[in-house]
Amino acid sequence: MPDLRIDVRSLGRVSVVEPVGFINAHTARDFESVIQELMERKQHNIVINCKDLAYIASAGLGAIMGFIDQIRENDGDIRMCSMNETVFNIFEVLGFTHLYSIFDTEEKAIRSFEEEPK
Amino acid sequence: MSSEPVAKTRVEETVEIHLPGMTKHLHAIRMLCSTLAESMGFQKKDSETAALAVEEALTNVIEHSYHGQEGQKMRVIFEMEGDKFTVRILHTGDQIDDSQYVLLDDLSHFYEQKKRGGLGILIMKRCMDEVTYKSSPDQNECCMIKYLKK
Repeated sequence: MPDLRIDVRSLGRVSVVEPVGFINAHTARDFESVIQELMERKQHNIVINCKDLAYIASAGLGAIMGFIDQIRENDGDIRMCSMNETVFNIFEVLGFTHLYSIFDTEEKAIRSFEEEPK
Repeated sequence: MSSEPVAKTRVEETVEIHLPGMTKHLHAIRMLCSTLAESMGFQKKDSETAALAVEEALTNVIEHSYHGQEGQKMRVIFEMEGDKFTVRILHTGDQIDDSQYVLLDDLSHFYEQKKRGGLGILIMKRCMDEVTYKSSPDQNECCMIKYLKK
């Protein structure tokens, strides 16, 4: 099994990024490339579905931090869903839970974008 | 048969790993750290955060002490004694200077400055009870300690 596989799906105005594995210094570049590519395609409404994300280290969190301002300037956002306890803990430890919207399910995360005015 | 209570002695256990500084090994060390912490009685949440701190410290050594040059020597020593879990990371690269991250405790400052590079140090400080750095002519060391909460 590879350390990280990233599936991307487009659902209307929202792109769902689904990392399978872990995001650390060894794999973060792949994760960054996926987000970068979405931004280049003007896909600024992004949900990261963490259901199969074992853990995320600073390299991955730094990637999100690096992109978030540009994405929000384009009226988009990066929202998370379906975090396991390990991933949620690290968001909590760093205070990221106040900076990013986190949802229980992918459906709720997608709906949060759809409920916003276009 | 004697019914005298057996005096409990503090036994220190040490696990030492030598490895080349390569990011592909980070996950394995993380798994080992988490397993050792759990064997001491740490809750899963605490063993996972300790493991993440160790992974961040190793990443810093590879990226900053060895400037991304993979394959340099690193030594990780896990010491388990009573309620004290010590992880020492020894290397011959540049010493990490975390003094520039002194303001990291102030998160708002951190985000304003977008100190993306200091995120690993912030994780280490928040996940461990003590983080110190030592230098000697032969090698540099990052020492992290986490105490088992009763």
